[in-house]
Amino acid sequence: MGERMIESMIFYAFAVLTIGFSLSVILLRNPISSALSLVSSFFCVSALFILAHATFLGIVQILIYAGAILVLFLYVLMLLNLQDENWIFNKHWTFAKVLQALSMVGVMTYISLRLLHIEPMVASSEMPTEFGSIESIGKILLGEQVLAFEWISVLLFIGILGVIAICSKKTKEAK
Amino acid sequence: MNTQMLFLMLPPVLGSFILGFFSFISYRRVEKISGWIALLAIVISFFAALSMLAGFYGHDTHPVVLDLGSWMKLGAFHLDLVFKVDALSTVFTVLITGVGLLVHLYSIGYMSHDESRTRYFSCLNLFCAFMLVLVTGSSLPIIFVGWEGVGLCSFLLIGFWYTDKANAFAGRKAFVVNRIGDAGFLLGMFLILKTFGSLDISVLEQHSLLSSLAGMPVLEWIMLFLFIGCVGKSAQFPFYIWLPDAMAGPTPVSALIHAATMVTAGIYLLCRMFFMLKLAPMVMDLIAFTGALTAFFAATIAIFQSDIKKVLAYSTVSQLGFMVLAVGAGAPDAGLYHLITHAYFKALLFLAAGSVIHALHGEQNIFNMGGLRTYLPGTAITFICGFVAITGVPPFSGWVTKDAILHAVFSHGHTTLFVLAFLSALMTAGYMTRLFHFVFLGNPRQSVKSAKNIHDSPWVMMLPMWILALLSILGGMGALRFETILEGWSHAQDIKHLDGPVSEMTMNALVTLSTLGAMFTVFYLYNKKYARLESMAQQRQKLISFIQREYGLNQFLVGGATYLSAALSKLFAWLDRSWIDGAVNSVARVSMILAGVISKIQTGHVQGYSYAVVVGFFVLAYYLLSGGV
Amino acid sequence: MIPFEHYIYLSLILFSIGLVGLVVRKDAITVFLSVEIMLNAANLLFVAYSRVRGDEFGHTAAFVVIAVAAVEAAIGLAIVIRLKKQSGTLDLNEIAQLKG
Repeated sequence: MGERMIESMIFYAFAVLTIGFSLSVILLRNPISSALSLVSSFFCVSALFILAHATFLGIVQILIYAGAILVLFLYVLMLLNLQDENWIFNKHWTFAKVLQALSMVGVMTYISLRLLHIEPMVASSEMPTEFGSIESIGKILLGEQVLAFEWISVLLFIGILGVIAICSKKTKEAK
Repeated sequence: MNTQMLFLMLPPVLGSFILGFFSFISYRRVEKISGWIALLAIVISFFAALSMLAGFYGHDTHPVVLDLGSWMKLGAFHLDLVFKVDALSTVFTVLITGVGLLVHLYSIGYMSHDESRTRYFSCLNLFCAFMLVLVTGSSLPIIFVGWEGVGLCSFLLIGFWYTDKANAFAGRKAFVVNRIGDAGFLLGMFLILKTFGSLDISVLEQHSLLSSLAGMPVLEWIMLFLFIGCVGKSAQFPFYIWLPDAMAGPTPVSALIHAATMVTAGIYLLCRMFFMLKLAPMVMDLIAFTGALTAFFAATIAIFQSDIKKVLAYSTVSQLGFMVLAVGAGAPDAGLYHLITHAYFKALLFLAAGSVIHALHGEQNIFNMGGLRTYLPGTAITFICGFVAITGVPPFSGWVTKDAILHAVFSHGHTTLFVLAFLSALMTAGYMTRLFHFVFLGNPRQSVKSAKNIHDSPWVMMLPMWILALLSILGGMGALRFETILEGWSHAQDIKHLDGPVSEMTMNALVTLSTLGAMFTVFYLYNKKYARLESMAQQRQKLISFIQREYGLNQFLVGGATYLSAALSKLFAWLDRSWIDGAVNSVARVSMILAGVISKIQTGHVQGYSYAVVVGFFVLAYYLLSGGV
Repeated sequence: MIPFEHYIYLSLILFSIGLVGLVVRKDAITVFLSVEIMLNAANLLFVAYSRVRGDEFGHTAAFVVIAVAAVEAAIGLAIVIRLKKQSGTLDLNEIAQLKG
């Protein structure tokens, strides 16, 4: 029982933190602040992953998502130097937009909850120890889902090509 | 396949195609014998027609049939390609092939110096082929094919010497005026199909609706439209304007087409459809009136013509009026008898005129002729035979048939029409006497004096004329009028002849005496009182030239038609520009406007798009996942 | 024991937050960050279902999502840099090249 209670408490704590940090991402004006809040949010989500016995994924989340992707974001933000822009600090939230946002959320929530299907959870103690480990996921990735694995590599390659294509300077020389 | 029918129908078609082929190749050897090839084809047809005719003299009066299978199948409507020779058709086939035979023979002589004779004989054969199709067609569309075909051939033959524009225009005029009649024919056919559901004549004859529709407007309209076709083809008032112009073609063509065959196609149609016509009394009256009017009108014009062929042309129109009058008055058999005898003597007259023109090297003005009785004795004698026949001197062919018509008209109660017809008969005697006088009698005038070596035509041309002369003289006899057969036909059509207030004998006597009187009066006037006549003519010069020009009818109709088509063209051009182009343009404009409105959705703001995407996606997902639409 | 619905609700809330940010914010970078929030919420859902089914398929899916997110972020940032160079501004209200 105590175990269960601690589990619940950790979950709620991290859940609240995640929500809080996410809110600050969209509410803060300075984009760098938003990015940093997002990093924190990812850390909390990672904790939630580990709580759900997805250990490998939790580490991956920190290593790659927070550690690589968001760092890239921060690099670019610093490159762009948005603090000097005026319009950033103006009002984002107009009435129309609030209405838009709320309507969207309303629709989505209503529909999702109508379609919801709940399944009972297995107790933590009954989880196999190998669950969520690198070996299991590796087995799946390179076994059943090897095609997806290969496609990811292709996708990364295309991404590299795309970035180079977009960012290369085309010098206009007369032919 | 009925061999008799094949021998009747095929030879002219084959002859025409073979000669047509050679008219393009221009093979010298074939050119020499082209006329004889064409003649051979017609001779074969003639003997086939005769053998079929013989069959009808027996007790067996079944029609001879050639069934070539199904032609059209459109849903419920179904038409077979069937050629049928019954009592009515057999008379016509013999007439067509017989007179055709004689004209072919004559043409061999008449066209012997012409370069394009192969083309001529090809067209002549084709004409006979189409005419045979017309009279043997078992249903209206087949008759219409023949109808159009003879129209085409008359165009080809009238405009034969097309290098002279006037000839080409004459051919065109014939075709166009015919076409107007054809429109009427077509409308009649459509109406028949709609009312009765079939265009086969044997079906129509037995049709159950016939008796119930007697006298109803539907039948009147049908017969009116068919009569319009007849007016165009048989040169009735006011569509006769093409026939005098059609004298531009070679004279044998005038003999065959305009005296004996094509113009009689209209009469044939009326007789063929008589079973329906007699149920439409108003149209019958109209037909009778038109016939009488045409007869009278054309006769008045013929009196003042100076071209030998034009006199004969207007005479033809006038005689056709007689035939149409007979049909309208309820005596189609009298009309048919006159058709037969008219074929004999009118063809003869044309051929004789051709002989005269040929001898005088192209002269056609009667005021330049004269005294030809000594130079062209053979032609003169044959001409006299035709002359007495047409004027109605007893006991020759024309007298028998013309009197039959006059009697029928009077007995059926159409007094005014009788008067018109009677006067026309008198005028016929008048202008024919005038013609005879100026061409053959009197002293030789200009062209006769200047021409060298005027002689009678060669035997190829004289032989047909002698044969026709014989027929014109003796044609009053029953056998030569196919009386037995036609009586059988008119009996089948339920035609009864009333015996009016005046008996036939009395009427005959009166009419004959009047006609003879007219003839002698004219002879006298021209011989003795010529100077007086001339001064009278001088005083009324304007009136005379007005009558000569068909009372201005030609200009009126042609000018009217031109104006009308120009006005219609302008109207349609305007409609096309404003409405149709406008419609097309406005479709384009509407799409442009619509596109302009719709493209306002594309604001270019990505966030707006994502909003739409999200909401749309969720709504769609909901519908799909909850098993909805 | 955490009832399964809580994972669902949390995921829903995070997704909504991301969605709102996507639509509302004016600058392009923050919009991208909102997209990352949404992807995160999806990952959370995958993991939750995986936990419930005892299957590791959800983990694999989440892994793939992270990889795709990486690519997408890279290309998106490349576009943003290019956009800044061309238009001089990153205000999404101004940039309307897709208009028409």
